[in-house]
Amino acid sequence: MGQYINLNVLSEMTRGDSDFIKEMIQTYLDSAPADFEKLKKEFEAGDIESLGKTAHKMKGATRSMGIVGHELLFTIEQIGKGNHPKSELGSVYDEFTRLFPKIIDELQNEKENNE
Amino acid sequence: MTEPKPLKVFVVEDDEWYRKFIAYTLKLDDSNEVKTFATGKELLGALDESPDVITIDYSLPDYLGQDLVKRIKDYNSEIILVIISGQEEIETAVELLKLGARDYVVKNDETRQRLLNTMVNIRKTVEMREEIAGLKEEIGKKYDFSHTIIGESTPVKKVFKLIEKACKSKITVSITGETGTGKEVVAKAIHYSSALKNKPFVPVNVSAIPKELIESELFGHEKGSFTGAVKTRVGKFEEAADGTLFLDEIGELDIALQAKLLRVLQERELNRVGGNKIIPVKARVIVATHRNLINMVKMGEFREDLYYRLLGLPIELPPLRERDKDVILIAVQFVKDYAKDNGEKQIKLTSSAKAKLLSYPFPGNIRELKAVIELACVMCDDHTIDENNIIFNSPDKMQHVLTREMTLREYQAEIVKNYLEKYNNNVIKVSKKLDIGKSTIYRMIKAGDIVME
Repeated sequence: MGQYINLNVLSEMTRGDSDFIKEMIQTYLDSAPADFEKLKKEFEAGDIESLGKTAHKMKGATRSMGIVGHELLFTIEQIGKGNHPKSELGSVYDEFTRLFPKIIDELQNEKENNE
Repeated sequence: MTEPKPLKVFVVEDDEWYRKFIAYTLKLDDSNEVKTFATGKELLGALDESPDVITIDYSLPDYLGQDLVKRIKDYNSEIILVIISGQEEIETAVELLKLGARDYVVKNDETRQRLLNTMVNIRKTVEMREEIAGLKEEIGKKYDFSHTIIGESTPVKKVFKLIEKACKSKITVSITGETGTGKEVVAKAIHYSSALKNKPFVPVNVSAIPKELIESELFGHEKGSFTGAVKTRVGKFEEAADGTLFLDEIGELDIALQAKLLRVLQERELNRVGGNKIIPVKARVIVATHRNLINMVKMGEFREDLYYRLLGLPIELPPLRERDKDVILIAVQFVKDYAKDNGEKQIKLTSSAKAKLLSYPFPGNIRELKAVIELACVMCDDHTIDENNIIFNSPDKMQHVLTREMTLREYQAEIVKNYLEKYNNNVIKVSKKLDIGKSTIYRMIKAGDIVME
């Protein structure tokens, strides 16, 4: 179990299928950075609704991978839907932006260790 | 144990990670054939591949969950839909379930188990659907008139033609014929050979229901509408829905209720007893009677307007005595049925047994023939039915004498034979009873007009 990722969640969901866990780590590494870039552009453009949708898209896999930032994505999604104060967006977004590269690094290490 | 039938499961999910995860979970069961799609558009383009189940991500980039559910249900309402979403909103779930989704699975740590449980339940549903479809097909075959109505005689060929016409439309059909001629068999044959075959077939024997209950039986009643109406009950018209309502022995319907039936048939709507709600009537109606309705109309026992409303396509079933050698074809079928039902090997009918069957007019028609043949099957030895095993037990042995066309000499022979049977072949007693000479009787026996049993 790493600092930012708890793969026990995924391991539990897949009954410890290591091949499949590796595949899912790779899938996350392939797709999440692109989604993160989209998230950044939407934040910079002030497109709160699209930002919420992208956060929603990232949330499921992030949560199932046992990644700590999924609560932040949930908050961004709720702000996008108007269910949460917009005033908190800056701090939540900053926190996720700070975490994301570390998450990717840790996942990359996890992948290399498993190879 | 047989292998479970593969279930074709489509997964539509824009998130590649989750798409793989759902597919992986579904493939844990080898009998699921899984295919994945990233957009609603791709999925809709593949519906002609006839999936059994589709899992849908609620928030696809090109379709909202409810829109996709509607599109799929419009295409084929039988496809089972499971919504898998990160939306933890009860209103969304309820709305989608109302639209016809089978289940709503939230993306969380329990998704895997929830999805597997849902699939187990879906498999049971699909198997049950297939079982019901199989049973319906069996029933359809069972009542297919080419199998159930046996005969090659001219009168029965005319009936076949009329049944074919009845099957092609929803016209009201009135079936008449003596008791035992197979009126209900014909009604079922029409229903199960028509476009309504997968809809309900609801038979009602009007003569078997007490007069005071028939209205509630046919039209239903509301709770509290009369003493004993402890809950609302749907009547036979509603039960038949858009299938067939078969009203057997319609001639026995109480004159007071005939007016209500006429109104229902004319207006195509009804009110339950004690109710104000208007309920549409969609069922096809087939009626049957052994009575002569037109005579009943003349006698004032049956409403003329109802008679014409019910007449529709009239099918008169011929009595067995007018069906030439059909009696043998039917008898042979009954023998086969008996052997099959009782696990016995083939039973034969001798020529003399056939001749005896052909000589008898069967006042009870096919129902009587069946009873005669079943008794013969029980009584016969060495799997061979001979004339001695053919025993007629009609309650009125002389009835056929009046219904069959015979010469005067044949009528005389029948009467003498009947008396001889009654008085244990005592010729002296019979000659006294009939006020004829003994020699007349002996002459008839010698000439072969009477065969002593």
